[in-house]
Amino acid sequence: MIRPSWLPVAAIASAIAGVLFAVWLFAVLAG
Amino acid sequence: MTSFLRQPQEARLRDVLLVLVAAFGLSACIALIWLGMRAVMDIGGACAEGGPFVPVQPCPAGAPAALTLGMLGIFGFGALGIWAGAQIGGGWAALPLLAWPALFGSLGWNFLEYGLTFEEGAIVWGWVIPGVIFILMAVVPLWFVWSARASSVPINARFGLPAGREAATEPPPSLGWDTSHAVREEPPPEAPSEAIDRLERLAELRRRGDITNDEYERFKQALLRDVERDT
Repeated sequence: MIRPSWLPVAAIASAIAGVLFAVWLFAVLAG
Repeated sequence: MTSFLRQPQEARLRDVLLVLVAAFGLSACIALIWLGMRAVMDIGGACAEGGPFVPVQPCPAGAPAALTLGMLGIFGFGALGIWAGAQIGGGWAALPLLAWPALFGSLGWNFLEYGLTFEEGAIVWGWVIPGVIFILMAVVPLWFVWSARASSVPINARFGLPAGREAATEPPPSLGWDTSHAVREEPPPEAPSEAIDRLERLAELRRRGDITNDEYERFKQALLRDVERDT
């Protein structure tokens, strides 16, 4: 068990990382 | 009133990681759909390949894969986020709902941007109208969420989602809405039905004029004292 007081910040960071990942993936898919 | 960052309750590391994976996946899927949609709109808004017809407009490279992955992934990561968020509690099950305004807001932006600038000097109403509708679909639920900040109804309950584990001593990590009501108070003990019957008979006697208001009040107080003593 942990005390994730950092969860809201981590969730926002994850969402931003997801967008960056999608941009990279789309560039790969588009060749 | 709401506090945006409260001391969180304990949570399992697994659930926290799954919520983060869901946030990552949802935003990645929305971004893929957004990018795929722009690629298709760049060539006029529609494409088709194969089948019995001559391919008039081949799809841009990557767009079909991005759109397919994005649309399927939204459901998978959304379900994962709701489940893992419910394990944490504190309204986190509602986090994936933000994907709705994010999706329709970003796609609405695409419609509006291309509808207003695709052809110089001419507004493409076929894109502006869905753009406005999409933006409304994004903003109206957001307005409801914003108005629910200080509401007594938890955000997850508003959307029929589970509340998750209830806080024992400390409230769970908050998404910015009050969850103090998650711990429900015990309802007051009900008056015995026999006492209610007697109260109703007393009221009936007073209505009929068989007893005066003073007598009614005295009988009622005596009856209530009996009930309190019994409970």
